[in-house]
Amino acid sequence: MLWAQLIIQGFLLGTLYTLMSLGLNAIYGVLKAVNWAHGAFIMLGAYTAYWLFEFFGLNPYISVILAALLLTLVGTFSYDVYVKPFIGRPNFGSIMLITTYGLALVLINTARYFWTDVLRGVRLGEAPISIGDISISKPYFYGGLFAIGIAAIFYIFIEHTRLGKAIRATSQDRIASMLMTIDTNRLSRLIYMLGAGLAGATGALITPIFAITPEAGMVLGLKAIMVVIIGGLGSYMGSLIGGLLLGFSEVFGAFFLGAGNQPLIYLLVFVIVLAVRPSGIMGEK
Amino acid sequence: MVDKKMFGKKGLTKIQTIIIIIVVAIALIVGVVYYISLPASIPAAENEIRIGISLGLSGGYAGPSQRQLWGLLMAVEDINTAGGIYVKEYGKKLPIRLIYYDDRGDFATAIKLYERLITEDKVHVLLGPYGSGTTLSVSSVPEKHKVIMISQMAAADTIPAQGFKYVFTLLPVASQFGLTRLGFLNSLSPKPQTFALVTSNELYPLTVANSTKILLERSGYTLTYFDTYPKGTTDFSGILLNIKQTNPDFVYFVCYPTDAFIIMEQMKGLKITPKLLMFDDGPNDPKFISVFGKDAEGILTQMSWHPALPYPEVENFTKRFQERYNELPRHWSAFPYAAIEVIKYAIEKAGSLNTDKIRNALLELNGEMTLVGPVKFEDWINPMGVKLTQINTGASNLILQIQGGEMKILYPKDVANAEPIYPWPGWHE
Amino acid sequence: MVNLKLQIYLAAINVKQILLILLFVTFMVAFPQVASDYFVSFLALLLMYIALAQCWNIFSGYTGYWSMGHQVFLGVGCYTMAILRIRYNFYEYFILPICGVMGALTAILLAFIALRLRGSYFTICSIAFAEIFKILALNLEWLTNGGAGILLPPVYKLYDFYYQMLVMTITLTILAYLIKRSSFGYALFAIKDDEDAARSVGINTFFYKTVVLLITAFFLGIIGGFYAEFLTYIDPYVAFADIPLLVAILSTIMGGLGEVFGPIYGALIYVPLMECLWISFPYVYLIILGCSLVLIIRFMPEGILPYIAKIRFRLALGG
Repeated sequence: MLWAQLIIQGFLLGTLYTLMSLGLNAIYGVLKAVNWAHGAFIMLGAYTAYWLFEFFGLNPYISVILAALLLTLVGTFSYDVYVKPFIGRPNFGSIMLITTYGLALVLINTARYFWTDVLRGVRLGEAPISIGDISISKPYFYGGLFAIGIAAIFYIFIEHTRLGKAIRATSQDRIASMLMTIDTNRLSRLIYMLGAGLAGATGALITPIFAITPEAGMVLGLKAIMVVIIGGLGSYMGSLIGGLLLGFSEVFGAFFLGAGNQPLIYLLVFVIVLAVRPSGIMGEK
Repeated sequence: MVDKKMFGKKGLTKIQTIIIIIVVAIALIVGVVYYISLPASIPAAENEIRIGISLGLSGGYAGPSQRQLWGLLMAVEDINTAGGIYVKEYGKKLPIRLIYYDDRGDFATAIKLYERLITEDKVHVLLGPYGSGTTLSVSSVPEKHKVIMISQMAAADTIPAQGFKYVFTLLPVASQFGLTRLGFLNSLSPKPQTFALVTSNELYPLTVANSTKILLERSGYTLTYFDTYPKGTTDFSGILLNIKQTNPDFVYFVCYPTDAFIIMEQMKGLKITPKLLMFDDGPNDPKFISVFGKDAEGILTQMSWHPALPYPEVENFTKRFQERYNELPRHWSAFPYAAIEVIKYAIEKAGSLNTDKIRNALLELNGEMTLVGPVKFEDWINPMGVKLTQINTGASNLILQIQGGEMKILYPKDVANAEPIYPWPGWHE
Repeated sequence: MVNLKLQIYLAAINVKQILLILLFVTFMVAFPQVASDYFVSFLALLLMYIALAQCWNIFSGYTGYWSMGHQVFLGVGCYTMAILRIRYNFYEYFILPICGVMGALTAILLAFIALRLRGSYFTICSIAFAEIFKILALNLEWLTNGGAGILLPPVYKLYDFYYQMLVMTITLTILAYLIKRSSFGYALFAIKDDEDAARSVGINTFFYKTVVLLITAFFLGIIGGFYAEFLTYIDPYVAFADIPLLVAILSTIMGGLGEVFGPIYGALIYVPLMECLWISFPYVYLIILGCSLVLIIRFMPEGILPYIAKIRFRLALGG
C-alpha cells in the first residue's frame, strides 16, 4: 500500500503548509502586499515550542497556543515599525516586501546570535500509528489534525463573525470599506497580528516533525510565499490547493526523484505559474 | 568647478597645475604606502612559539569549532604549564601563543584570515580550520607562503590529494573510513549481502559515502538504494519509503546529528527494520539514547576517537576535559589536542623554529604516541587510486555500537572492547 | 573654437573630482606592492563588493526592478570557470568571456520568465530563480560534482584577484556613469519613474529591461569567474550564496540607489564596519543590515548620499 502511504503523508504535510500560508494570505488580502517575515514568525513559533519543551517539558501541542500568542505580540511590534509607517506610499507593495525582508533579517539573525545555527527539534520518540501496512508517525498525524482544526476555526471566523466580514470587505475594496467606517488601519494591524499568530502556531506544530534552525525562517518564508502565489493571492481556497500541492510534490518528489531533486518540482511550478498566470490558480485574471 | 582663472594669466598654467598634482600624488602615495608597510613590532629573537588558526566559531559549525578550540586551549595550557616547548637553538623552553580568529565557515573570510595569520601575526605553524570545504579553500595559502599547516578537522581526500608539501593531515581521511566499514562488514557472520547508502550532499559526507560505496561494491556487496539529500532536508519520507521497498541488510546514513534524530523517528513511523543500522553522527549525542531508549540499542555509529580507546593519555584527558567542560570529549577536541602534541614532537626533534627543519621532523615521526594514537605522516594511495600526500597512516576510524546504554568499540579489533549485537533488535513499543 | 569646447567639456566634468579619482586609482594600483597580504585580501574583497553593488545598481537602481536573485549570475560564472578549467583545461582568460556569456544567457532566461512581472512578483521570482539554479548545481553531479564542489588548480591568486577586482570596479563605475548619462539610461529611469507612461510614449520597456539585465549579468558572470579562481574551491552553497549580494544591495541603498558613486560610498562605510563588528558580535552586521534597510527606506529613500546632498542644498539655500 505504498501509494496510500505517500498520499496520506503528502496530505498531512500539505495541511501544515496550508496553515502556514493562511496567515500570509490574510495579510495580503488586507494590505495587498507580501509579508516576507512570515517565515521568521514561523521559525520563532517553532523555537518557542522548542524552548518550552526543553525547559518545562511542555508538550508542543500545548505550546501551540502560547506560540501563537507570543507571535501575535511580535506581530504587533513588527507592524508598527516595519509596515505602518509606509502605508499610503506609492509602491507600497514593493516597499513592504523590502522592509519585511529587513524584519526577517533582524529576527533570523537575532535568533542566530542567541541560539546559533545548531539544528533543534523536539524529539518525542513515540511509536507510530499503524493502520494495516501504513504507518503514520504521530507528529505528522497530530500536526495535520491541528492544522485542519485551526484552519477550520479560522474559516468560521472569516465567514461568520463581524470582524471576519470586515476583513473580507477590506480585502475586496479598501476604499469602500473606509467609507463604511471600518477602521482599516486598526484592521490591518489586527490582521497582521493574526497572521503572525497563525505562523507561530504552525511553527509549534512543525517542531516535532522537522528540525529547525534560524535559517529555516528564510526557507519557510519562501515556501509560504510560493504557496500563496500559486494558489492565488487573496484566495483561501487557493492557499489550500497550493499547500496540498506543495505537500504532495515534496513527498512524491522525494520518493520518485530523490530528496535532492524534490524542491525543483515546486520551484518550477512556481516559476511557470508566474510566467503564465501570475494571478495563480484561483486568482482572478 | 573649473574657473577661467585656473588657466588664465594670473593663475597657474595648465602644465604647472598638472606637474604640481603629480608631485603631490606621488608624495601622498609614497607616504601612505610607507606607513602601511611598516612591519608589526617583532621581538629581535623569538621568545614564544606562535600557532595560528581560524575556526567557524559562528555559523553552522559553531558547536564542533568551539570544541576544537577547547582541545587546543587545553593542549597549549598543558604544555605551557610545563614551561613550553624546548627549542635547542635557543637553549630554553618557549611558551606557545595560540592566535585564533572566527571565519564563520566562510571560505573567503578564512582565506583572508590565514593571510593575516601568516603575514601579520607571523605564526610559526598553522592549524587547519574546521571543515573540509574551508580547509580545502585555504590550503593553497600556507603552501604558497611555505608555512606548515596541520589539518586536523578535515577528512576529505581532496585536500591531501593536492600534493602539497606544507599541508599535513592528522585526521583519518574519508577513504580510510571506507576501509573500516568494509572490514567491519567482512568480520560479521553471516555476512550481510545488500546495503543502502544515504548521504548529505556536502563534501565530507559525500567523500565518506562514495569511498564506502566503491569499496563495498568492489567486494561483492550489492547496493540496493543510494541517494543524496540537500543540507537542511527535514522530510525523509521519500528516501525511507524507497529503502523500505528495497529491504537491504545494512542501512547506512552519512549524516549530521539532527538528521539522525529525524530519520530515526521517521523510520520508526514507517517501521523500517534492517539487520544493521548505522548513522555516522547522531548516536554519539547523549540525548540520542535518552530520547530513543530501547530503540537505540544496537545502533551503529562511527568516530575517529573515543574515550574508551586504550591509548595511555586518553583516560586522563577525558577526566580533565569532563571536569572542565562538563561533557565527554570527542574527536573534535582530541585531534586538535594531538596536533599540538605533534607540533611539540617536531619542534623538539628539529631543535629549531625553522619551517623546513620542522617539516623534516614531522616526516620523520614514526608512530609516536599521542592522544589519538600513533602518528606517522606519509604518502598513501587510496582505494580509488589517488595519491594522498602526508596523511596520518597511524590513524583509523572506529565503528561503535550502543550496547546497554553505552557506546562500545567494535572495530578495528585491536582496540575493540565488545562483540557486535547482530542483527539489530529493532523497534520497541 | 577648441578652447570653448574644451572649457564646456571641462565645465561638465568636475575636474577636482576626476583628479581625486586618479589619485585614488594610482594609490590602489600601487598598494599591493608594499602592503601585507592581509590588507590586500581585505581590499580585494571590498572591491569585489563594490563591483557586485555596481552590477546590481545598474539594473535595480536604474530600472526600479528590485532583484534579489542576482547571485545566480555570479554562481553561473563561478561554475563556468570551474567546469571549463577542470574538465577541459581551458586557459583562464579564454574562459572569462564565456563566463560572461553564460551569465547573459541565464539573464535571458530570467528575462523571459520574470521581466513581464511587476514589483514584488518580480522580486520573488528572482529569488525562486536563484534557488532553482542552486539546487541544479547540487543535483547535476555529472556536471557540477554536486555538493562535493569543484576544486580548481590551487594556484595562489591573491594579487591577480586584487587587480582583477580593481579593473572590474573601475570598468563598472565608468559603465554606470556612461549608461546613466546616455539616452539608454534615460529610458531606464523613465521605466523606474512610471513604466506605463514610458510605454505609452513608445519606449519598448521589455527591450530596455532585458538589455540592462544582460549587461549586469554578463559582468557578474565574469566576476564569478575571478571569484572561483580566488577561492580555488567552490560548492553550490558558496557560489550561489545570497549574502555577498545582500551586502551589495545594502551598500547601494546606503550610498544612494541609482547613483553612480552610491555603491562605492555605501560599501566603504558598510564593509569595514562589517569587518570590525563580526569579530565581537557575530550576525550583528546582518541585524544592522535589516534595521538599516527599514530606516533608510523610511527616512532616506533615495539613499544616504542624495540625502546628504539634499541637506547641503537646503543649508546652502538657508545660509
